[in-house]
Amino acid sequence: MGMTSAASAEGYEAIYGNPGLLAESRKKALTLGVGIARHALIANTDQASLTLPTDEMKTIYIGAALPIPFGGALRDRVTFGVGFLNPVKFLVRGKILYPERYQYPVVAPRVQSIAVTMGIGARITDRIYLGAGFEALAAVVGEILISLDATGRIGSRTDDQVIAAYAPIASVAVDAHPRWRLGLTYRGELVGRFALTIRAQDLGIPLPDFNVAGIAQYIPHQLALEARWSSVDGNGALPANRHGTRIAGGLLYRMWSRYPGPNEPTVLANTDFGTGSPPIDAHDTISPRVGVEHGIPLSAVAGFRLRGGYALEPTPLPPQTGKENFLDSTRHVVTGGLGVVGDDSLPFQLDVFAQLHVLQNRLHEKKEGGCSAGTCPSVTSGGTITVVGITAGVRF
Amino acid sequence: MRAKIFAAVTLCALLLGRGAHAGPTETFGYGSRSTAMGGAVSADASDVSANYYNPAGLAAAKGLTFEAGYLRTIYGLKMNGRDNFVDPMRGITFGLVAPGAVGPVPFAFGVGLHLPDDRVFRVRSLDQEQPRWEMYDNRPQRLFMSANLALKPFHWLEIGGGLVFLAATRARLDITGQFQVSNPKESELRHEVDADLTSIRYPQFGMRVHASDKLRFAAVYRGEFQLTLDISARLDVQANALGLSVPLLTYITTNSVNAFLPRQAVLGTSFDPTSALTLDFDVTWINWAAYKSPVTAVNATTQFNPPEGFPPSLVPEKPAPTVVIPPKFRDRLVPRFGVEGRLPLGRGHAFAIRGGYFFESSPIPPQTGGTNFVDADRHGISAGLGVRLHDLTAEIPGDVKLDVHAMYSYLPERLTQKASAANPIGDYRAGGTIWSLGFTTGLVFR
Repeated sequence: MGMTSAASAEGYEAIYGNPGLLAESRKKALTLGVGIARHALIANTDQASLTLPTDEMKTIYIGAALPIPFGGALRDRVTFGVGFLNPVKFLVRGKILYPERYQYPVVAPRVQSIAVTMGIGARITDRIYLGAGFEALAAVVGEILISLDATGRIGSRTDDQVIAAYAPIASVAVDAHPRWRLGLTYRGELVGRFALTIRAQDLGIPLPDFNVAGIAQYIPHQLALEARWSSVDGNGALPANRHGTRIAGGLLYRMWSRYPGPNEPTVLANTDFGTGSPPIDAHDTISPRVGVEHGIPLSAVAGFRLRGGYALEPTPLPPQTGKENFLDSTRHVVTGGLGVVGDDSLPFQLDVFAQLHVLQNRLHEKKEGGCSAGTCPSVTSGGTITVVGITAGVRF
Repeated sequence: MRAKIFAAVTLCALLLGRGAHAGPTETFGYGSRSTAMGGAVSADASDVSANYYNPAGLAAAKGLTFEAGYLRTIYGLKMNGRDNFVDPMRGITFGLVAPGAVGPVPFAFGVGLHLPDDRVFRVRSLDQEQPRWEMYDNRPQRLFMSANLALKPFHWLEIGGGLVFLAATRARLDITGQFQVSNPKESELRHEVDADLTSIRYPQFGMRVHASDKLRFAAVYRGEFQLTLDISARLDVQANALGLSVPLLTYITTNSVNAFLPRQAVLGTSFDPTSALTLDFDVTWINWAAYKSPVTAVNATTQFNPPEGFPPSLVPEKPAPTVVIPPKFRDRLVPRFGVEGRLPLGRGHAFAIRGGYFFESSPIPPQTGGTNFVDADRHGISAGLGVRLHDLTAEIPGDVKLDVHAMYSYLPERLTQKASAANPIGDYRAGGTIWSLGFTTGLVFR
C-alpha cells in the first residue's frame, strides 16, 4: 500500500507503522515471512557503464501481536507486539567505503540489518489509540591490541562487543469519523556504528592508534502523518466476507540533515586532516505516499485482498561535485500485493507483495578541487531496487 | 485436519530449525523458579523459562504469560588466595508465552530474552599464557534471545523448537595514506571497512511425554554454538621519515573463537508425589571435547624495502605467528536435582518454596603447559521462594507472581602444577565461590 502505515497498519506491522493500532488486534496472531531484495544500482561515466555489485538480500520476517486479556476497565484495550526482521545471512552488514568509491549510503545499507521492534498499543477511547515502542539495531565497538608475547611471537588481545542501539517509537491514531482515521507516528534516530581501535606495539615501528570506525547503518528521525478512508463503517480491517475499499495517503518527514556520513577519522589525533573529506551535507526530506486496498469476498469465511500504492522518495544527498561519490537519486516506489484472509472460523492469512524502486538518472558533475584530471569523472546515478515477499499468519 | 496442522507446524518448526542455548542461562539459569530448582526442569517448565530449558513445555502454558526480572552474579574466584575480580554478570530477563490452539491442536509461541546491562555480547581473547577463568570470565557476557514454537498433538506429548539471533564477526579493514614515522599522530590516513555480523543459528528441539498425571519425561537437544571474530587488516601507506618516502605494506589477520557452547543432550523427569510437591531430575551430556581455543591466532606480514640511508631502527620487524595450543577439554555429565513444595493460601493464592543442586565436573584438563584455562569442579546449591496471587484485581483475570532465588556455587580449590619449572606463570591454586541472585515477576492471564 505504497508503504503507508501510520493510519492503515494492521497486525504486527503496526509495531513499526503505528503501535497504537496494535490495539485493534483482538486475537493472538503470529506471522512468518520471507522477502528478497535485488539492487541494480548504476554508476555510469563517459568511459564506462557500471552496475554496482550487491548481494541479493533475503530477509526473514517474524511478528506477533498479542492482545493482553486484562479485565475491568482495561478489557479489550491493550495489545503487545514484537517483530523481527532478520537478513538470512547477516545480522548487520557494515560497508564503510572510501568516499571516492561509488556507493549508495542511503538505500544500500537499509536492507542489510536486523531490526527488532517491540511495542504496545492502547485504545484510550473508542476513537483514540496511543502506542509506544522501540526499534533496536546492532552496533559494534571493540579494541585490538597487537603485540609480541613472552616468546617473541605476535599475539593479540581482543575485546569486541556488540551493543544495541535503540530508538523510540510513539504514535497516536484518531478515528475522526466512522470511515476516516488519522495517524501520526514518530520514530527516533537509529545509528549502527562500527568502531574498532587497533593498537600495535613492539613491532619495531611506532604506529598510531587506528580508529577504524564509521556509521554502517543510519536511520534518521522520522515523522509520519497519514489519513485513511474506508468504504466500510468501522475503522478496523476490512471484513473477510464483504466488499470494501480502503485508501490511505500521507507524508513522511525524515531528518537526514543530522546524518554525519559514513566515514570517521582514522587518526583521531590529527584533527586537521579528519576524514580527508568535507561533510556529507545531507538535507531533510518529505516523502508523499498513497495506497489502496480492495477486498473481495471469496466465500462466507474468506476474502481476497488486492493492494497497490506509490511513494516518492526525494534524495537527501546533494550532487557529488567533488571527489566523493556518495550517490543517490530521487526514487519512485511502486508497490502491489495480493492476500487471502479468513475470518475467525478460518484464522489464517496469506499475503504476497512486491515493490519496484526506480531511481531517477542523476548526473553528478565534478566541479570542485580534489580531482586531478581524469581521476574522478562525472557520474550518473540511478537504477532499480526490486523487493518481493510472502508472509503467512495464523490467529489463535 | 489434526494431522495437517501437526505437519504444518512441525514443518514450520523444522524450517525455522534453530534453537537457543546460551552462556548466561547455561551457567546461571533462566527464570527464578527454574534456577531455584537447580535447573532440573526440562520435564517441568511450562513458564517463560521453557524457552531455554525445553520449548516443548510452552505448549502446556496455562495462559498468556509475561515475565520480567533481573539477575546478578557476585564472583569470589581466586588464584593463590587473591581475588581475580572476574567481571560480574548482570542483566534483565524478559519473556512471554502465548498459548492458544490452531484448530483442535494446542499451540504456543514463546520468546525468551536475557540482556546484559552493558552489551549484547562480547568477544574477548587474551594472550595464550594469561590465566583466565575460562568458564566465567567472558562466556556469560552475552545475550540470550530465542523465539520458539510448541504444540501438543496428543494429550501425552508436547514438542517444540526455536530460533536465536546471534552473530559472528568478520571484518576486512583497509588503511591507506601518508604515515609519518617520526610523529605518527600527524599521519594522514583513511580507512575502509567491510564488516559482517553473520547470523548464527543452532538447533534446539525438545519433547515432553506425560506418562501419567504425576509423571513426565523429557528429552532436549541443543546444537553447538560459537562466536567467531575474524579480522583481516591491510595497511598500505607511504612511510615518511628523514625526507624519504617509502611504500609500506602490512597484512595482519586475527582469528578467534569465543563463547563456545558445545552440543548438549538432556534427559529429565518430573514427578508429583502429591499435589503439593514436585521432584525433578535432569542429567545433561555436554560435548566439551569439541571446545575450540579462544586464543587469537595472529599473523602479520610486512613488505618494506628501505632505501639506502633509512635508519635500521625504523625498519619493522617480522614477528613469528601465534601457535595456538589445542585445549583438549573433556565431555562431562551434569546431574541436576530440584524440588518444589507448594502451600495453598486460599482464594487461589499460593506460596512455594524451592531448592536444587547440581554438580559440574571441570572439563578442563590439568594446565601443565603453556595455557592457563583456569577452572574447578562446581557444586551449585540453589533455593527460592515464590508467591502467586490469583484474581488480584478485576483488570488482571489470572495470576500475579513473584519468584526470588539465590544460587551458591562452590568451586573447591584445584592445584595446577606446571611440567616445567621455567614456566613463567608457575604453579597455582584456584577456587572460590559465586553467588547468583535474582527475581522474576510475571502476569499469567487465564
